[in-house]
Parts: sequence; C-alpha cells; structure tokens
Amino acid sequence: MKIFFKNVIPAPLKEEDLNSSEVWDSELKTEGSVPYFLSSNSGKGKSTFLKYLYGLRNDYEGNIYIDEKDIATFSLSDWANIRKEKVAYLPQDLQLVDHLSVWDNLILKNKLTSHYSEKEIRDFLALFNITSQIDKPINQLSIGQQQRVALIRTLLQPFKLLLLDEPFSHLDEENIKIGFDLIDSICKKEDAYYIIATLGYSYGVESNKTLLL
Amino acid sequence: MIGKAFKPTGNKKTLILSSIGTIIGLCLLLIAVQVYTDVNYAIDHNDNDQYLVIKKQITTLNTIGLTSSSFTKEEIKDIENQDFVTELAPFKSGNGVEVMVVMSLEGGNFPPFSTLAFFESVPDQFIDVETKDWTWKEESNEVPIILPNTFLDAYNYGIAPSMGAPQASKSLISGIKFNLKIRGEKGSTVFYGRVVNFSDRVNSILVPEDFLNYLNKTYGSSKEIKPSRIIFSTPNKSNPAIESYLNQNNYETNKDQLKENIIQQVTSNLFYFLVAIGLIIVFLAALLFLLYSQIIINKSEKEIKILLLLGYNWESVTKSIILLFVKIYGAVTLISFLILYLFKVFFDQWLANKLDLNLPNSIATITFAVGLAFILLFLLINYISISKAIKNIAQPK
Repeated sequence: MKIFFKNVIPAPLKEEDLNSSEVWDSELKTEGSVPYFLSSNSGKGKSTFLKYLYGLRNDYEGNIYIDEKDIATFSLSDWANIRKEKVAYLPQDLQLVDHLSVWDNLILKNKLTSHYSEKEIRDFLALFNITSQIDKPINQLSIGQQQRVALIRTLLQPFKLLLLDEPFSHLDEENIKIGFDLIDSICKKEDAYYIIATLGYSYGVESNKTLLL
Repeated sequence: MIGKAFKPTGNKKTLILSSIGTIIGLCLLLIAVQVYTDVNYAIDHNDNDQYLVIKKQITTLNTIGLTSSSFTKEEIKDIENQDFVTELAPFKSGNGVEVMVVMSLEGGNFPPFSTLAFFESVPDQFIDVETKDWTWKEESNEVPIILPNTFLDAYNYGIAPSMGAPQASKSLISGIKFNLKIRGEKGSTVFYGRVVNFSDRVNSILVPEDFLNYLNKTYGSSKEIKPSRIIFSTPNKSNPAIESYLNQNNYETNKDQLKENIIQQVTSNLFYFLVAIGLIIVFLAALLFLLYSQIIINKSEKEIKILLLLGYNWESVTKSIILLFVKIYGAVTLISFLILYLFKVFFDQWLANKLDLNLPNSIATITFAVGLAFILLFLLINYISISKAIKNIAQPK
C-alpha cells in the first residue's frame, strides 16, 4: 500500500517551525517492505499522522494519498471498508469496550472480519500469557494486559498497512519481543508493513526506516 | 454482537413513560378511526332509512292568505333532487271533505266523544309500523286507521285524568269502532273506523291511500289541492346539508329531530377533539422516544466510536440501535391493537344491544393501515435522527 503526504501541515502545528520535519510540509512516500518508525518528542503530531491515515481527523492543509487516491474524497463507507480490509490501527488509548470481557472485545472485531478462528484467537492470547483473563471485563486488567489485548484485536483483520501508536509503552521487554515477533510474522503473512509511533526507541528492530517529525 | 457493545442506559423511566404515552395516544387514534369506520358502515348498511317530515313555516302572512303553506310542484321537484333524499312523498289529504269522528262505547265509563278530524295518507313504505289489514276495498264500510302515538298519550295523560275517565290501552282502542261521519260537496255518508296501529313517525291520522282517493272522488271537490307536508327518507338525517337546506327555504321539521342533530354534531366534534388529543399525545411520546434515542447515543458515544474505529459502518451501528426501537414499537403496537380489539368487542356488543346494529367483528383495514403508518412514521423519524447522530460521530474531525 502506497502512502503519499504532499505538503501536509496539521492545523495544530501551523505556527511551528517544520523545516526539520521529514513528514510535515514536505513530500513523504512510504511503500511496504520495511517498517517505519515515527520518531519525535511528544507534541510533534505522531498520533495525528496515524489518525489522518485512518480517517479519524482531517484538520490539515495539503494532500494525503492512499494508493494514489486523495483521502479527502473518501466517504464514510469508504473509510469503513478501509478499516475493515486495508488498514489496521492500534490507538494509543486502546479504545477497548470497558464493560465487555477480553473475549467479547476480540470477537467484536473478528465478527466483522471473520479473519481468524476462535482457536487461533486463543493461541494469540496464549502467546501473551493472558488466557486466564479471557472472561474478565477489560477494566479489571492492567494497562499492560489491556495493551496486549488491543494489539491482538488490531491484528484480527486483513490489512496492507498496520498503524501502531506507542503500542508497548506499558510492556516489559519480553512481551515487547513477543509483540514484534507477532507483528512481523503477521505482516509477512498479510504482505503488509507497519508504521509505528514511538518516543524514539527502536526496540531493537533492525532494518527499519525512521521518520523524524 | 454490536448491541452488546452498547451500555445499558438505565433510563427505564423515560422508556416506560413514552411507551405508555404512545399506547394511550395510539389507542385513542385507533379507536376513533375504528368507531368512525363502524358508524359509517352502520349508516351505509342500515336498511332502516331515516325519515323526516317537513312543512313550511306558518307566519302571519299565511294567516291572512298572502302566502301559501303548501308546496308547489317545482319545490317538490327541487327537494327530490337533493342528494340527501332517497325517496320522497307528499302527504295526500282530504279534499273538501269534512270528517267528524263520533265514539260512544257502551258498557264502560268512557265519555261519549266526538271531534272534527282530517285524513291523510302516505305511501305504505313510509309508514313505520307493521299493518295487517292496511287495505281498503271499495264498498267496504270499515276503514283502518293509524293514529299518531301522541294522540294516545294526549288522551291517556291529558283528557282521561282530567275527565275522570279510564285510560285506554292500545289493544283496547284497537277494538273500538268509531263512527266516521263524512260530509262533502257531493253528499255525506258514514263509515266505521278502526285503529289498527300507532305511529311514531307520522304525526297525522292516516287512512289507506285507496280510501282517501275514493273519498275525494266521491264526496270531495274536484279542484286540486297542493300538499302541505312532505315525507322523505334519507340515509342520515344528521347530515348538516339537510339542516342548511331547510333553513334556506324556510322549511320546518320536528324539533326533536333537530335536537338529535345537535347532539350528533356535538358528538362528532367531541370525536375530532379525541383525535386531536390522540395526535398530540402520540407526537409528544414520539418526541420522548427521540430524546431516549439521543440518551442512548450520548451514553454509548465511546462505544459507538469504538465500533466505527473497528470498521463497522454507520449503517450497521444505526441498525443495531433502531432494532431496539423496532422491538419497543412492536410491543406498543401489539398492546394498542389488543386494547382496540377488546374495546371493539364491547362496543359491538353495546351497539347490538342498544341500537340493534350489527357490525363486522374484525378490525377495519383502514385502522390497521393507520396504526402501521404511525409506527412506520415513528421508526422513520427515529432512523433519520439516529443515523444523523451516528454519521456525525463517524465524521473525521
């Protein structure tokens, strides 16, 4: 999936000096093969970048293209289809349904995409060691556990591009490694690539491309 | 599954209140429509046509002979041409014939009684009572007579008590033979009269038409006289067109019938009032339901955002909320029609007992149509409002 940011300036950064940015007010093209690391201090628009690509925000000047189509022309149903089949997104605030169990949160997504069997979903949970929490309401889990559930949910769909917004902020090294291994293998399987927003860590992922905002 | 994502609103009161409101309003509307349909059906399918007797107002001008109280041929033609008239007949009356009724009953305390009288006749189909022997053959000297009920009442409650005479039952009177002394231009004679029945509808002394014709031909004058009263049948004598026509032409009818008219008008105004109240309640309830849908959306806004984030389109999210309203409205409609049905059972029974009217037992198609139309309208309004709110949430900011 090809992405093209052409002279995009987010409304909140209009007054800022964007000369050093590789993303804002310049021409940025990404294409799948290597992962991209969005790197900057907070407040430079990492989350905003991902939200533009997922149709959650549109407060920018310039043009953004997905596969050569200007996303400003997408309708609500276009976005729904993209979210269902083309682009997966893990928001920083996770967006889990608090009063539903771990299992129901996952099924809520898989029901829509029918992408994995129940057994496969259980395998994902086992990978992260949260099988025992399966029937607990989400809000009884620790933030770290919630992050893992949200990551699994994000992966329960076909996609060509995976957007991850600081997905490992509350995970220990071991789980981060499990996470990256899972993301890598699934991206390979889906023939997709990912863009990840971080506060500057590369989590030991080699052969990535870092984008400075 | 989507439905599970929504938070329970915990706002049962609004829901119950709007449901009850809708049921009350809808019941009022449905009952009004059903009763209206039934009453129209009864009027259309009632063999008992309603009858009106009309006459011209008597004024001083009549008394001094400047205008006539009788109807001209043109006037009769005009009445006959009115839409509300199904059948019409002028009263036929004695023409230059004087009738003296002489009654003397032997062997009782009845006072001897004689009075001047008159005869009239109307075609048989306008007479409201069954009559055996309602025929007269030439040369027979016994004449059947129909008296108005008011005459009997006048005797029984007026004349008899004031004279200390016994009251008379219908069957007693039917057994009495009167002497009818007839005197006209061409001579005089005596017949025997016998009362065969009493009429509520026709306030006159009726004899068979054949007898009256014979009397006029044999003893009366040959100059034509015009009728001064007209009887006609109509499907509905409360039809406002009748009253305005009568007023326009200075015709009169029985005050009782006018009173009935006023009552019917008040009733039908009450009916429109009911419909209006029903409509107001229904629309207030619809407003409450709209409010309720907004509460659901506000309470679950976070969950709706998540659903949209996961890739559910706004249509399926809207659908899952609408589904709740389909269930509520379904229950409300069902209950309303149940109440309507119970009402109809009692109403039909009441009509059958009181007015001897038999209505179709089923609820009218038009009532179903009105009920369904309202529910569909409710759903449509909710759908528009909910989908607008969901689309608004789905829009990139």
